[in-house]
Amino acid sequence: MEPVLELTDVTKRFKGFTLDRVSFTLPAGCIMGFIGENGAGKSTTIKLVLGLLHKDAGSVRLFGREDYLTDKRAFEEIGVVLDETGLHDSLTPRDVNAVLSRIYGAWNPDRFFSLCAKLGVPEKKRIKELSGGTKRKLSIAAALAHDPKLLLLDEATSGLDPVVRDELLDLFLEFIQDETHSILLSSHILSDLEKACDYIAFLHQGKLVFAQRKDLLLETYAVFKGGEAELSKIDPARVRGVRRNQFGVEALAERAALPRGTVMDNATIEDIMLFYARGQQQ
Amino acid sequence: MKGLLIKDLICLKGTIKIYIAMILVFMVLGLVIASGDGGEEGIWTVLGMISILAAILPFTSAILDEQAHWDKRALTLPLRRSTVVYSKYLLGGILILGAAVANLCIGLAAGTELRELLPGIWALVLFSLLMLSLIIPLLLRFGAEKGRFLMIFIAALLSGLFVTVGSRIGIPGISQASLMRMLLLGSLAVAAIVLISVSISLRVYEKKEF
Amino acid sequence: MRIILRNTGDTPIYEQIAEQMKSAVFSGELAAGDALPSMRVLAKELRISVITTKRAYEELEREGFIVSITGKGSFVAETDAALQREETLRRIEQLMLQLLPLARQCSLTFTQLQEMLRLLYEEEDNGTGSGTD
Repeated sequence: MEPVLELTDVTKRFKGFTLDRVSFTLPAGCIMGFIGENGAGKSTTIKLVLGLLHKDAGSVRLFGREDYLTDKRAFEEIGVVLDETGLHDSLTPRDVNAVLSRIYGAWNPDRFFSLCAKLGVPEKKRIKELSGGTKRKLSIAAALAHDPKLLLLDEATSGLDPVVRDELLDLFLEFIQDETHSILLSSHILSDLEKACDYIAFLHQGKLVFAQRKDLLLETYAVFKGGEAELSKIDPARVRGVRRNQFGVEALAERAALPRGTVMDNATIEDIMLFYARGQQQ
Repeated sequence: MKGLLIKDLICLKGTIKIYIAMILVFMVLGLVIASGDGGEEGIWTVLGMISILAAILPFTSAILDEQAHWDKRALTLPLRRSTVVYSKYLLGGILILGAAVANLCIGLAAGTELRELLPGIWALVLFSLLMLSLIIPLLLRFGAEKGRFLMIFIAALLSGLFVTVGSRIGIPGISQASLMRMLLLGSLAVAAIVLISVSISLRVYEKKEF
Repeated sequence: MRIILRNTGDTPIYEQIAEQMKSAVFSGELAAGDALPSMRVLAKELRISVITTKRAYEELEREGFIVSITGKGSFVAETDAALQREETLRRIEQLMLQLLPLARQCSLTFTQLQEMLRLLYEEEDNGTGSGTD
C-alpha cells in the first residue's frame, strides 16, 4: 500500500522561527508519534499538512496526491482533533451532528452518538457546560464518526487526566485495528506514545532529528551511566547527548558502542528526547 | 454549504431573538409615542433598523466564529475555502431577504401603501447589500476583533447616507419613473459591487493563514 | 495464554513475546494447529506497536514454531522433539550467561557456583522446596 502521508523538505519561515526541510513518511496501518518540545514545530507541521498554513517550500503528498488541497475531497478521509474543539459554545452534540452530517458524505449519526455515549458525552448539553476532557472526547467522536482513514491528532491528549488519556488510547488502538487506518499523533506527553507507536518522529527547533521505527530506536540506544573516564572511552560520534551532575555522568549512546560491563539503562523515548534537547555534545 | 448555514443559523438563534425583542419594544414605544401623527415616518425608522440589524448579523456570526476558533476547524473539513466565503455572502443574503419580508409585513400592517413601501424596501435591501459587500472582505482580512471598529464606522456611514438619500426620495415631485430609474441603476451598481466584493473576499481568504 | 511483558532488563519486547509463546508451546498450552491472536489484536491488547508483534511472529515462524497464512492468520506448527530440545538448551545457555556477571560481582568462583547448582538439583530431586532467599 502506498504511504498515507509523505512530507518532503517541507519548509515554513516565520519571524524568529523556521520549520526547516522536514521530511518523513507515514506508512498505512501505522501509528506515528510526533514528538518535540513546545515550540518545536509540531503544530506547524500538522497545520501545513492541513493547509491551514501555506508552505514556503517542499511537498506534501496525502493519499498519494500533492494537489489534495484544491478540492478538499481527501478531507472526507481525515479525522482531525486539535487542542480546541473549534465548535461554538452554544452548540450541543446534537447540533454538531446536524451541522457535520451535512458536510461529511460518510457521516454516520448512529456512529457519532454511540461514540458519544461510549465516551460519556451528554447529547443535549451545550459545549460550554462540558469539562475540558469531555470537550476533547466530543472532538474525537466527531473525528471518528465519518469513518476516516487517517487521524491527525495535535496534542489531542494534553490537558487531560491520565484516566481519560488511557480511555482515548484504547480508542485509537481500536481504530488502528483496520490495516487501512493510520494515525499521526503529536504529543509532548510521552507515555501515550511509548507503548503504542510504530514510528517516532522527533522535531527539535524546527528540524527533524529523526523519524524511525520505535522498536529499533529503543534497541539502538541506551543510557550510559558512569564517570568521565569511562565516557571518554566511548566513541563520541555515537554519543547523542551528555548530562553531568555532581556525582557522575549520564549519556545517551548507541548500545553497540558501549563496552561490556558498562552500567546502562534502557532508554525511554523521553530519555532520547531530553538528551537530544538538553544534553551537551560531549 | 448547507451545513455551514445551519451552523450559522443555530448559533445566531440567540442573537436573533434578542433583536426581535428589541424591535418589538421599539415598535411598541414608537406606536405609543407617535400614535397617529408622525406614524408614517416612524415606520421607516423601524424598517431601517430591521434592515441594519439584519446586515449586522453576519458580523455577529463572524465574532462568534472567531471566539470559537471555528474558521480553523472549518478548514479541516472537506470544504473549500471558496465555499466558506460563499456561505458568508449567502447567509447575509438570506438575512437581508428575511428582513425585507419582515419589513413588508410590518409596513403593510402599519397601513403603509404598497406603492411607497416597495421602493423603500428595495432601497433598504440595496443598502444592506452594499454594507455586506463592504463588511465581509474587511472581516476576512482583519478578523472580527479588529474589524469591529471599521464595521461600526461603515454602518454609521451608510446609515447616514441612507437617511440623506431617503429624505431625497421622500421629496414630493420625484416621479415614479425617475424613482424606478434610480433604483434600477442603484441595483446594477450594487450588483457589480457585490461581485467585486466576492472576488476580493475569495482572494483574501485563499491567502489567509491560521 | 498469558503474555506478561516487562520493561526492565535487556530483553526486547518482541523477544519476550516470542519466548513466552515458545514456552506455551512446550508446556502444551498451545497445541499444534491452534490459532494465534492476530498481530494487530495482540498489539492492541498489550498496548504495543504492531511492528513489534509482527517481529515476534516473524521470529517464531523463522524458528519453525508457527506458520502464518496470509488471509487466515498464524497457527502453531507441528514441533518435533529435536527442535524442542535445541530450544531449551539455548535458553539454559542464555540463563547461564546471565549468571556470570552476577557471580563476578560477589567474586564467586566456578567451584562455588557449581556447588550452589548441585545443591539446588538435589533439593529438587528430594522434593524439598528451598524458601526464597
